[in-house]
Amino acid sequence: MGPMAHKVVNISMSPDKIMLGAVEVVGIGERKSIRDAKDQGVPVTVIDGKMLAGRGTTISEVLNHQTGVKLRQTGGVGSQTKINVRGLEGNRVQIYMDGYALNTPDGNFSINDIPLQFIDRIEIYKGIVPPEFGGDGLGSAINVVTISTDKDFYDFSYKYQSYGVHDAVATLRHFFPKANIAMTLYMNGIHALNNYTIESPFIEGLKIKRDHDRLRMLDFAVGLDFLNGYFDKAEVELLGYLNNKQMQGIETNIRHTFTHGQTYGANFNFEKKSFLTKKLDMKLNAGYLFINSGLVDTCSYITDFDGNVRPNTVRGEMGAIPNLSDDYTHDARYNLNLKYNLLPEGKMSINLNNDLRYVNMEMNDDEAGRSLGRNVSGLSSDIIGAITSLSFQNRWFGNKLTSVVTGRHYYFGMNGETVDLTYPGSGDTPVNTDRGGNYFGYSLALKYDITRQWALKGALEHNYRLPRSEELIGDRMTIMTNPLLEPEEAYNYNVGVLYDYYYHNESRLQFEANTYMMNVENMMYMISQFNYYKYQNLGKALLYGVDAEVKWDINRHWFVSCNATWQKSLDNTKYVLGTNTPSQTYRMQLPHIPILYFNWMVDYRKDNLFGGKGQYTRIYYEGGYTDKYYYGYELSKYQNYKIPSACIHTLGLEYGILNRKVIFGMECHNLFDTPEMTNFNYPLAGRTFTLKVRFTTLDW
Amino acid sequence: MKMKKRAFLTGACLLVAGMMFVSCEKEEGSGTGGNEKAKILATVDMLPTSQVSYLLPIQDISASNPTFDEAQEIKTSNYIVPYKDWVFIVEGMSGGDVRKFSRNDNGTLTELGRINVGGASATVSHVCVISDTKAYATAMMDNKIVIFNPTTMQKTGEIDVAGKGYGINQNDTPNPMGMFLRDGVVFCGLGQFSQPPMAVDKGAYMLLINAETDQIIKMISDNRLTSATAIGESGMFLDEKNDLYIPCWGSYGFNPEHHSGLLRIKSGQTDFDPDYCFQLTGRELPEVQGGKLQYVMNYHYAGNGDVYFFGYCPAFASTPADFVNDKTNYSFKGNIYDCTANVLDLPRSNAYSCAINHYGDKVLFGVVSESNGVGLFAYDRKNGECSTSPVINIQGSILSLKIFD
Repeated sequence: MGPMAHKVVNISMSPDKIMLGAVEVVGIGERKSIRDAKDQGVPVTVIDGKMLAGRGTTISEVLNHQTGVKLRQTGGVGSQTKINVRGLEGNRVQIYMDGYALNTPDGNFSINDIPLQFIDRIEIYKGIVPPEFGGDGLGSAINVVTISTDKDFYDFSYKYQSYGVHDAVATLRHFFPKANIAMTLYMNGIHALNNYTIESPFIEGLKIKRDHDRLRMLDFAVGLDFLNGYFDKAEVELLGYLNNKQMQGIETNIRHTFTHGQTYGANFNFEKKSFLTKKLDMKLNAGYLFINSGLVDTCSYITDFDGNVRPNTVRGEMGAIPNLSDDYTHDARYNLNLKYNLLPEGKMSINLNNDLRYVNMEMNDDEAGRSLGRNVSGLSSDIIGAITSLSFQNRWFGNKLTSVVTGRHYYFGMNGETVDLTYPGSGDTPVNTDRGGNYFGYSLALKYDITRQWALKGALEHNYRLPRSEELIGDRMTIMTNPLLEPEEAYNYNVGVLYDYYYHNESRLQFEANTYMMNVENMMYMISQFNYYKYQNLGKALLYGVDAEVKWDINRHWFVSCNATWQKSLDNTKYVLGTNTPSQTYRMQLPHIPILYFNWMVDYRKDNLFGGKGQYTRIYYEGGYTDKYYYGYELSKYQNYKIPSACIHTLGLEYGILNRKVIFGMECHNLFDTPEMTNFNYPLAGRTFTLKVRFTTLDW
Repeated sequence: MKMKKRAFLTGACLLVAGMMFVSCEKEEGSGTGGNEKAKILATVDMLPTSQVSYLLPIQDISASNPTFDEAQEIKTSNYIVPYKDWVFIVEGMSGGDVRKFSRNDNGTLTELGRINVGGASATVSHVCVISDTKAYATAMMDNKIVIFNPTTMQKTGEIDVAGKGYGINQNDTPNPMGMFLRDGVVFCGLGQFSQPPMAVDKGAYMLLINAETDQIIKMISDNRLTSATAIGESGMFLDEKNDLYIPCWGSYGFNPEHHSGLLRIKSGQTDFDPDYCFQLTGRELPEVQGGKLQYVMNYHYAGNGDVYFFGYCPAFASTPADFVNDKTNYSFKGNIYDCTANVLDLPRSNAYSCAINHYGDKVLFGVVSESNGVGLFAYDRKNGECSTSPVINIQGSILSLKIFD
């Protein structure tokens, strides 16, 4: 090397302005929050909330197109909706919002009351639930994560749906920098007639116009975020929820019965990384709800579908007694999560989660008491549920293997007064029921990245679903107390394989398949005799199945997906209940649970499809097929009580202007008006149109 | 799945049979199909794990293990009313329909039609067939008696019993239940409910209806027992003297003043026999645990004064009651003339399964026993022996049992 080799050449660039027509960043990826959720060893499906922003549908309808998930509905907006995950439903599937149990004691607030546009993502855990979720359940859970933004925004949407459904949502979030506060105001109102016509499943040739199914709902919240303080996140929220729902009769013509409820509460949320020590992260959520609810069913006559009026023996149109209930619930809960990072970047950590819930219920119903001839009002009960879990997470073999091992302790205590409804019983004298129990569960979740594209998942879990207050204590009217009730218990096993391949910068192919087995014991059934009801631990179930899903981002405009689920839910009770006689239904398919279903989707999105700028167009088509399943055991050749197979098609259009500050949405659910039923003898609406308009200042 | 397997196996059997030119006999003891009409019909509840029940045809008493292959799906707690080769299914508290089936020559059943009776309340308590073209159905909570043609299953009229003064304690609703036709008069029991199954006050009440004119003749009552007849089952029977016996369920004993037992209306009479009352609630029965029964239901008269029934013994009930595991029901043999009753040496049952009938000399009891099996147990009237296991295994709670001799 000569001296010239050291010559320095100075180059300077003068600035110049060139206006580019557009800068296009090509490539698809996944947000970290979604990737993190999928990276766990547990089987999970994650739905990106951005795909839902302009749609006029509901969360449960979105869930209905996922592997392992089926909706069970009895009617239109506000009707009973159960989400069936891998054959389990009701209280056996826990619903969370932002990681905290959503289920209200009276079931007033439902997952469908969360507006789609404020959902960041939906996580569907199937079989095994991560340790940071504090609730109980038999291993399946749905966590709805709402959006979080650090900018002011204003958002208003209005939706009109067939059969008289009006749904309006307004949200305002404003930052006050001087006060270091951000305030969120939120309000949602729904007025739904649900006035579709069905063919009576009970009387041949009778068409029933659903004219007593109106829902009125108002949901509001005020939130304050305290910024730049000791905590990374400090939120206080005050909320309210009012509803009034008529009851629609199908077998009988209910004309006057309705339910009503009001809920008020406060919620506190604090989060801090490096809490007390550098390696400790803390999340604390605490809340209180006051709920007042009632059933009004006192009609002194009954009516048939021809309008003929008959005198009523018992008063009330539903059940064997009249009701004019005025029930009060105080629900206090908190969840503390402490995560100690033993190694950085999430390589090794210990997680302690403590979830406590206290519910006090007071039931009043003088009308029912008069009918029963005994004073059953004013009795109250307390129930405590505490779930503590300790988990250890580690990454092994150069981060290829992720493991989470968890131990979980469940405690429940219950104390309450009831009256023994059956003779000789206790007459008017209240009987005190005091009951508690400790239970231990565990789980292990593993994920192994074989290659960059391929990964394996494996998990096992032993968990409990604690009895609810109504199940233990009853309602003092027709549901009897059962202090001997034990929690439902499950042993779950899951093995899965994942394939995730990015190519050509803008294409991605994903595949996931899971197989599972669940052994459920102490299943609770409601049984009846003499017109009284009681929950008892009576059955065992063996659930197993396979589900698989393929998602293909062909390019940045086209996306297709399809999934299939085959699940068996077998009666695993060897003997006829209460006997040692071998049962003929042992290992037969349990009634009223879907077995086989498929979903598919084609989605096309393009900016400025019709020219111009700042426009966004999305056209999507979804299809779903559910095979028939039976209302009873398949014992006879003439098994006609069934939920028929149905193939439902949905077509939708989203059109955004002004960089999606204004979005118009149109959707037609059940395009071909196919008869649809997801609960035996409860026909659904058929073809349904939805129109939605949304104004938002949120960035996309 | 099981059905598919069964269909596959059946298909395979047929193929083999066809190739070998041999006839395929039905499975021994399956009780399904055959060359004659089913002689036994039962309604079987599968609660609580299934809300579907079955109308099960059984060829005869030799069918020890009948399958449900030929059973017809029905709602829970349904009852059978036979008439010639017709079988009416009464939906009781679980629906407002009366369904009609025919017993076929090959041992199967075919549904021929149905009629909705309890349109406002979705309940129907009983059917009484007057003739091939006329039948009554009691819409218990609608408080009317629907008249229909059982051949066409079309409604032809109704008898309104609401607001006519037949309800007691200022009630407009007498709640018509079980019926029996004797000498041109339909005797119809009244529930007089405050809320089912509780009667508003003590007393057994009946309406007497002229079966030709459909006019109500009068209402009769007797304060010694409560709740004449029952939901789904009339339970009434005639003895050899044409005397009518009326079972009273006594509000399941929930009110200690409401007694169960049998009342009588003598042949040719239209009032309760003041000299007769076979009261069973509170009666001292030394063989019964605790000495007393809470209530008695489901009587079956087998002739010569012999009546058979189930009695609910509260000494075996848990607190609170465990409807599945508590084996509370004794089987009894009683005598209607000397008003005596003895416990039979059959295993106790839960309170769901409660059907009784007789097949020749054998009295069959539907029993869900703890450790002796589930199905129809037999008491042999000839030698007085009781079976220690079911003579016909039927899994489920047997609510109603009819025999066609």
